[in-house]
Amino acid sequence: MRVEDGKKVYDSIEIPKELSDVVDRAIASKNKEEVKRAYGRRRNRKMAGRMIRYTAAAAAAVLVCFTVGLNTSEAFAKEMSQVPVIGPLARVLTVRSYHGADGDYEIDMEVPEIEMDAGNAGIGQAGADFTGDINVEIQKIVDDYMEQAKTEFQEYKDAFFATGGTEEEWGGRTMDIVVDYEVKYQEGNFLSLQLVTAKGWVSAQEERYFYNLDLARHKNLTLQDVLGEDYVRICNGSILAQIRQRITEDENQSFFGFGPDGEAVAEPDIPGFTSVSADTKFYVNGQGNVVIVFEKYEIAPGYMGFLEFEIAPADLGN
Amino acid sequence: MGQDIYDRTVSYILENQEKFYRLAYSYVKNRDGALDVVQNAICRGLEKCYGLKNPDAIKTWFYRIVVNESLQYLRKCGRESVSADGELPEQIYREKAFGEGQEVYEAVQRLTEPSKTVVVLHFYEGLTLKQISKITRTNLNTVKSRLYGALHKLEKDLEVLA
Repeated sequence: MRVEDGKKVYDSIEIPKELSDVVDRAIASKNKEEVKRAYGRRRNRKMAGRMIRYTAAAAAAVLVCFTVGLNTSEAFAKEMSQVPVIGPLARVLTVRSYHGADGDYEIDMEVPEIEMDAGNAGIGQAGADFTGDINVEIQKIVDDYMEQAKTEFQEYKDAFFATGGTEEEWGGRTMDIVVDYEVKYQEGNFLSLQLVTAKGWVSAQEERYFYNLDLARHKNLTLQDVLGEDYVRICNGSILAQIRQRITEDENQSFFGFGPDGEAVAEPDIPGFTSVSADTKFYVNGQGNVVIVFEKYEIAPGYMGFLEFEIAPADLGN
Repeated sequence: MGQDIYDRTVSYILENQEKFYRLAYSYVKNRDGALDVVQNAICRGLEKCYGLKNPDAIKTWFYRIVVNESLQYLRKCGRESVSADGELPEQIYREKAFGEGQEVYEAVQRLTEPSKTVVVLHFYEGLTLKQISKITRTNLNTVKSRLYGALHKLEKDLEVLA
């Protein structure tokens, strides 16, 4: 009997038909241009040190794009029309930027801060306090995240050596920590910002935070603020229809609690999507439409990743 | 017309996806978990591909990612013997068809890390010990001693069974 004999069994591990789709989707999610840009940016930073201005310019470019974008969401447009238009009130800037190795860690960090336009009379102290609080919150999320990630990795490292691992076996392993952000939408006094924290040592984990802000009225906007009182019905209807559509158009898509015909199962093993709530995550995209976000594992198996549902203007009805 | 490292990585992934799946499956032992591992490995690989200095090392580099993703997966859900949907982990029962092969395969599955990785990569994925030393970032002699240790253990295991 030889070890090689087991190879037949190994080679007969059945390949599920979803594999090629999972692979294609994973590849599509990291398209070449994006990967290249991310890498180029990182390398530029490494060579030129801190290049805060680059991101500021990028943020400004985003801003220009978005000001020509139309508000296709009626409720949102209505919301906007009730406040005086006072031009771009704020900019999103990178306040902390670090790219490179730091001991056991490979860090790629772009921490945003919302900067109010000091020359704008419409802001006042209350406005500065409002964004100030949000900036503090973002910094805290980032600091806590860094600390937690480092503690986790240190514990892993300590355990590795405590259980007899050698320096050679450890082989200079490092942990990747990523903090990044994206301005999803900016128009007038409305700002939709996404903050991403991620860590990778042997696998990647990612968290996304969203800020939807009314900078003139110093308010964190909720789904109800943006879509109106009827937001639960509007979102649920749209999301259920989209889930059904995705399942029926692509047999490899699956959602907890939904059968292969796209209909909700009466008593699912794992509860899936039932309804949005005041806490449901969302942002506003470049078209001015609300996009609902569910985390990995929240309403579907892990291979489906983060899931987004755009609420189209047509869903708003009357 | 230089095919850059991203394109090379993508074609390498497309060509070898089944291998990655089997390797992942041999660790996590359930379908969804293995799909998760493959997906994470691809995302991670592509994100990092421009950092790969020697394009000829794609193979060892990507195997390393798959192995690491698999181990991380086990670390995360390792202590649960049931999968997320409450079912027992899938088992392959083909004893009749594969005879002794099945016994050997199961004995290999019972090996502990890092010996199992060495055996699987060497005997089932056909990698050289030198490649394995690169994948696991360990010294070649360490790989050798792990392999011999594993073989010794397998021998004892299978004797008891026989």
